[in-house]
Amino acid sequence: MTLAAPANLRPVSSMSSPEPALRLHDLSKRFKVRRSLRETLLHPKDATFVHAVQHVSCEVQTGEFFGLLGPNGAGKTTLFKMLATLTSPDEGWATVHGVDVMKDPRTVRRMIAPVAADERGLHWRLSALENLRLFATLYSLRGSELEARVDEVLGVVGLRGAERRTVGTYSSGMRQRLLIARALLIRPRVLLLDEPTRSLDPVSARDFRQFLRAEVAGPAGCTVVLATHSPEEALELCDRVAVLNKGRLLAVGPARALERQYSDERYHVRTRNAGHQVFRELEARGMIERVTIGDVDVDGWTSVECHVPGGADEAAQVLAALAGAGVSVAGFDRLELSLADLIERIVRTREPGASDA
Amino acid sequence: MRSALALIRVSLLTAASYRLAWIMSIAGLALQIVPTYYIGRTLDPFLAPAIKGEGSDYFGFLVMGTVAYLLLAAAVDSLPRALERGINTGTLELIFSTPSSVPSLLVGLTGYELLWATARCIVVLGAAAVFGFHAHWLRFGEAAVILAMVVATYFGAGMIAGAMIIAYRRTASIQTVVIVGSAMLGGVTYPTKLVPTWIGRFSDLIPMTYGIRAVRRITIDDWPLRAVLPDVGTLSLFCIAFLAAGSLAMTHALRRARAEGTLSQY
Repeated sequence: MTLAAPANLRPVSSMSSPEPALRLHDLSKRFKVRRSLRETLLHPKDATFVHAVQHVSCEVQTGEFFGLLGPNGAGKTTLFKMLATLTSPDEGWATVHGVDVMKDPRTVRRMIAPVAADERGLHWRLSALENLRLFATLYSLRGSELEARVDEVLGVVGLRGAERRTVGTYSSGMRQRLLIARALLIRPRVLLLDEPTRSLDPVSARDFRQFLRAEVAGPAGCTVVLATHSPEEALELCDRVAVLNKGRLLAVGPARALERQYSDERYHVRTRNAGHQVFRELEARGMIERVTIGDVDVDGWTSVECHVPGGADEAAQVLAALAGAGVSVAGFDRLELSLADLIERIVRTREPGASDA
Repeated sequence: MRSALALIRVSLLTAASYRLAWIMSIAGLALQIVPTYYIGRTLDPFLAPAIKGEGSDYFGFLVMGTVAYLLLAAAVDSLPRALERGINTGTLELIFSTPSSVPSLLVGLTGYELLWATARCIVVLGAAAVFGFHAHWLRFGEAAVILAMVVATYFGAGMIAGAMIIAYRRTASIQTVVIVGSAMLGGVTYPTKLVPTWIGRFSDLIPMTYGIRAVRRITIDDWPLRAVLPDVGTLSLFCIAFLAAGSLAMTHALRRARAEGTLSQY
């Protein structure tokens, strides 16, 4: 996939505005749980609710790449829909560049573009060109400006040349790019991306991430909020991430900082002498804990994992002790948390009722 | 307005991509006039006295009834169908996330169906003319205004059905009840004088009764406009009431869908 730079994707004029791109205050949304007919008849006044978003407050700065992480049902999509004015909040408020999503939804819709991973939102029997022309008109673009903008976004997402093909003949990746092109039509100041690379192959997904960083968040100055389950997107693309669970915002910060905060200084040692006495001595002195010894590989090396409570400084002493004892060490690395582990740990430690780690 | 036109254009392009269905629809309609002609001619001696004041012959009566029925069906059914399709294809939520106004989106979603129904009416009238349908063609401008009022009235009913699609995903067969009820009791295929008196009273509650009677009197019997003003006036009241009820229902349904987050669920 080739993603060309847009010729004149202009920077957003109010980049220097002190108002954050997004401001969420105590935002909450609950949905009524559908009950059986019997329950409804027996207890007509009772109602059960599921809390999709609970008292979420945070700010996203202009031009920031902001990730939303969390398990399925965490409330990411509901949060997106509230920002896109498609669902109204029950409590709290949210603004997009200072404009309240409830009080002035039409102005918000001119600034914010939601992109769902769902390809159903396209007219499959029409060409990409017709799809884009329709939405350009719905966004009040006219005449030569409309045609120029459509051509420009087609170029941005690398669909120029395929624009007259019906969308039904497109691959998943092409459709995904068309969805992005449609969102870019209005030069959005905030782009909401819901798992944008879900249906892309790894190479296309990588190119797509580069394109987002280089062409959307960069020169266009667009704020990007990205709901994702992809470690690459969360760790490499996002300036900051927020972890949601059961509608609650549990943590916000740079993904690497969260990873450092929630990791437990676990190290991996590749050695030929996993049964050496020095491991027991280090464990007895409290320099290493929770030692697990893996299988011996075909070359005779064994993977040993251990927790080093003293952090990097003590890890250096452990390595020196191993070398001093004549243990063959081919690798000594700090184990990085996977995204799943990070989310799991944040959820485990930050959920109400959980003990602080 | 431009938003509405853009949506109509997209509906046209989509429909045109199903070429065979398009051609068959027109051809079927043109052919339908053949049995209509023979039924009209056969039943004319029996029904001529009953249709006096609404046409000189039963064939003409049936032709104008068919025209009104095509418009009625499109007006009632187009919006709920378009909304249902939009929900199923995921396009509805997206068009509602644009700054275009809701009325222009609703007109755009249904405009093609209404224009297509109008085109089909012209085919019916053309085919009927070939079979000897005598009408006062110069009066069709006035008739078109009355038919537009019929469409607007029934579009209000369509808005109520559309609101039910948005709120509940089902219409509880509102369209069928309205279309069949109006066709049966509104004098589309037979004069309302023929039905028993107690049923005939219901005819007075149906907008089609007034619309189709006025149209037939103008186009077939060449009545002056002032002579049909009572019918047009009653139709106007229905029109205002139905559109107001439809607008209220739609506003409430959209507010509910936004509150419950169900705009895109199917």
